[in-house]
Amino acid sequence: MGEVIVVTSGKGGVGKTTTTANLGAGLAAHGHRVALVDADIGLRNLDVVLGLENRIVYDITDVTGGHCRLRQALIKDKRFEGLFLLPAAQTKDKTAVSPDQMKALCEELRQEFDYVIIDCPAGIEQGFRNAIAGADKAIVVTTPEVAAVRDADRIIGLLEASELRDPKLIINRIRPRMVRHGDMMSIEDIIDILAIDLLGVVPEDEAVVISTNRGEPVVQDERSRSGQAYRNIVRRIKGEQVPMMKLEEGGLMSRFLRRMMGLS
Amino acid sequence: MPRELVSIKGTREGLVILLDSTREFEDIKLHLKRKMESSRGFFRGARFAVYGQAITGRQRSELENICRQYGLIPSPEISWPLEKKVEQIKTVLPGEPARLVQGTLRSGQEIRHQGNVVIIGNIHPGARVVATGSVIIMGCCRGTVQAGAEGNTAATITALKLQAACLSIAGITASPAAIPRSSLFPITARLKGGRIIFDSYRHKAIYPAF
Ligand SMILES: Nc1ncnc2c1ncn2[C@@H]1O[C@H](COP(=O)(O)OP(=O)(O)OP(=O)(O)O)[C@@H](O)[C@H]1O
Ligand SMILES: [Mg+2]
Repeated sequence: MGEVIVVTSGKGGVGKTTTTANLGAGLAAHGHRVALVDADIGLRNLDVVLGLENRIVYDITDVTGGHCRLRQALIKDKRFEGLFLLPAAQTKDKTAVSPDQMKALCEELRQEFDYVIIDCPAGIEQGFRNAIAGADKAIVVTTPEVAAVRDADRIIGLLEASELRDPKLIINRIRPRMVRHGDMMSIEDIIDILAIDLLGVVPEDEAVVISTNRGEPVVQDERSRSGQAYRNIVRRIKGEQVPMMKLEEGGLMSRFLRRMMGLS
Repeated sequence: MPRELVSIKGTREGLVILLDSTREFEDIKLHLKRKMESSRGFFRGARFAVYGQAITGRQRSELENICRQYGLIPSPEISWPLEKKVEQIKTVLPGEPARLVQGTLRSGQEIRHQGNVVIIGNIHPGARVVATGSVIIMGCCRGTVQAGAEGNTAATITALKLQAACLSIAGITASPAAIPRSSLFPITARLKGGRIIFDSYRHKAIYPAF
């Protein structure tokens, strides 16, 4: 029986969909069977990020509404063996699915898959309630901004109130140089405020934008730092101990030399 | 006011038979019998307890037996406020009750309480505590705390650490600039001269000589 993980944030645009796609592809690359569920009904995105948008026939509301079987609505990814997407409906809104239907759906999916990852919509309303209803674990994504961290805190409180204890944190779009210059919240600042376990840190990276536009998750890009960050997170989800990667560009030695030469 | 030898009071739990134990016990007994007689079975089936300050255990059971004869049921657990008060005065310790909150308050979470509140955890930005009494935070306070919310100017706010907190006591708000940024010791905010002042209670309470 697989586990159901919801990826959530409170604030919009911090990288939930990007995270969901990359964790899904990364886990599938390790040979797991993974179902991704786009719970952002009305603002469908996950299919685009995965490059699967023109293969959608049925969506999540067709399944919950009994118009098709779950199997028919799941889209199989051609690049990653074992990766499937249950797309959101684009023509409906968040009330098209109920928490009970979500629970039933997750139960059905976990029979078949090792991991079920749910892409949660932004906000704390019905869409959020639906997305977390069937989950047994939660990943909270934030960016190093005060407003995003504040919203993450609110979400963590709501998750805990819904018996989703010990959510794990992903800090996305960190810019080490800005942190060094005191222009951006550091990892320590964020952990100090949110007081939850850190699952990983993903740097700000052009490769994310490029890969998103191509519909190819960056996790498979061997050269990109964000890809490496996602691969590390994937291994941590699998239970491996992976040290946090060094985010400073250039590595320790060059940094040391640069400081010697008064360059930083 | 001349006290009756024996008086019978009805309470929610049952009858309370009060004795003036400064009087002769035989008189009390006689009086009780007379009362029972004149009640003509009115008390039959009622539960009762005997209260008298200086009666012995044997005397008490004698009186209880009289009542039994008239169909009453002894129930020593029936309480009588006068006696209770005496007990309370003996056991009351200084201090006030407080609501204990175990855990951190996150953004959007709120505690409202009539009285004092103790938080074992942090108060995050966007979280709020509103209490009519004092608030103690066994952690870092970065959120909003309103103590003395209904005008109690003696209320205080104590925290292990204050960081960009928004504090008010009895409707008076602390100016952010006045809030100490760092302290090795817990900080207490209190009202003085219509303003909120901050002090570390270590100096006053534990080492008054310093
Ligand atoms: N590490 C990163 N580096 C650069 N760009 C990023 C990174 N992570 C995400 N982005 C970009 O940020 C934008 C928002 O990301 P994404 O759609 O994943 O956020 P979201 O939380 O799902 O948003 P919404 O709340 O609207 O669903 C996208 O354009 C994405 O390409
Ligand atoms: Mg999204």
